[in-house]
Amino acid sequence: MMLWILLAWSTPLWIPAFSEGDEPKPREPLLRLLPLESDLKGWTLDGEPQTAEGIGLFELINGGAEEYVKEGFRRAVLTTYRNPGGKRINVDIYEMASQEGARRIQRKKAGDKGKKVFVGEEASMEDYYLNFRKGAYQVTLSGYDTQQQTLEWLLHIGRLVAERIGASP
Amino acid sequence: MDQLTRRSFLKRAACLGGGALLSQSPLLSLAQTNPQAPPAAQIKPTLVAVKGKDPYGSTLRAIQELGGIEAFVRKGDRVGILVNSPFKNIGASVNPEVVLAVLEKCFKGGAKEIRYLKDPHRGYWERSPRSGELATVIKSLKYESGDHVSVEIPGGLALKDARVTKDLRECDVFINVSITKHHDGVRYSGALKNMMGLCPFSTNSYIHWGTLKLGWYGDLNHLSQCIADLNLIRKPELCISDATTFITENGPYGPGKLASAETVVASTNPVSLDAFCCRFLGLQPEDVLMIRKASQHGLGEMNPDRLRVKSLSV
Repeated sequence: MMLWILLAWSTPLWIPAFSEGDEPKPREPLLRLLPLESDLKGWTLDGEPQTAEGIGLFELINGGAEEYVKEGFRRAVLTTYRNPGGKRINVDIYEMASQEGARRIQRKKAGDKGKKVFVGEEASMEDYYLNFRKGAYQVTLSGYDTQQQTLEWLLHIGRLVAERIGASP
Repeated sequence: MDQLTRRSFLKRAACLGGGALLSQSPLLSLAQTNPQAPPAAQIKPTLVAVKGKDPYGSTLRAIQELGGIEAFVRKGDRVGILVNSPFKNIGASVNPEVVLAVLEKCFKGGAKEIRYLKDPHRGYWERSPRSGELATVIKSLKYESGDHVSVEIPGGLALKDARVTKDLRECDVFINVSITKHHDGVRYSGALKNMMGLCPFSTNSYIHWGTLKLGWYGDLNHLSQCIADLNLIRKPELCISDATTFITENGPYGPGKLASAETVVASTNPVSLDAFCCRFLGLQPEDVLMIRKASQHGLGEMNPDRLRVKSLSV
């Protein structure tokens, strides 16, 4: 059993080759992309953000990692913000090896059913969640209800993340 | 092979033997047509589906219809509860209201200790409006120890041994609480798939990648067989599936489109439970390979027409 574990961990063969040129800057702390609490009017981080690299993503999101890894996943930061009323919004930021990989993930997750909104370079809002892409980053935000106020916060937080991606050195 | 507890061994032997016998149609037919058998009204259902707006109330009712918690938990028992609750997205984890109803029942039934066999995601309990009222129940829980032991699976076809949480063998009663939801690759996730929650990443990686075919779902036959094999380790005394609100795409993690069947389903058998619940995703039991393979192991009946189903609304 050990042989396949080593093989699986060392060389995920289905990861596509790097596409140079649109590659994000290596080793920039992903945590920097999370909006500051001071920009969020009472929303605070609900515990420490979780991070994953490479196929370590499977440990965080189980089989949900499959599509990301296939498309050249590099790193992720997953966190939750909470407001004083107890509402929560989840923010998952995935850094891919290329813009094309992020684009394919965005299409897979968002499909063509959602409402087009202006966040990042392409974005889609569904009943209680928002998917968007900017550069080689694919970002998913989700709430726990379909109230207009929740959707507005999804958009607001999403735009803050997109700005921070845009400001990457 | 690690030793299971005496009680669990006896139960397991009885369940496997009984399951194998009952899966053969002549005996089941005999039981159904025996003129000496008690009237239908007195026969307990093998599966209960309760539809209602309140998942907590529906769960209580489902347990009651299966004979009450006393049919499963005795005073002083240590209960192990495996809940599919690691994912924060709505419809990807069991509604905590369902779990709280089971926990409360177990404590009232005299459980000495309840071990939560797979930790929930952060903030899970706060998603329930009853988390304040039932704070003592939540505080009384013991969470997973993080220790795993190797267990041989003599009847396993693809999975001959597995690492599972040590806590499993220390419980007298094992309760499996799953959510009915979409799952990439296998299409459906319920009680059978939930058993992977007992295993560390190393075992689950083998289950997915064991034949070295490319991709997490590269070999569905192997994956489904391993899940069926894993279910040989220990059969739950009680299985509950939350089909209230669940994702119908992007599973297991979500987020994705939601469906609401507003139903809680309970059974003593995980195969039958899954065979019944896959309909909420528009699937037939034979569409889900792990259900077929678990049935072939003699773990339970996969033909819903041959179950004693009680459906009710509350």
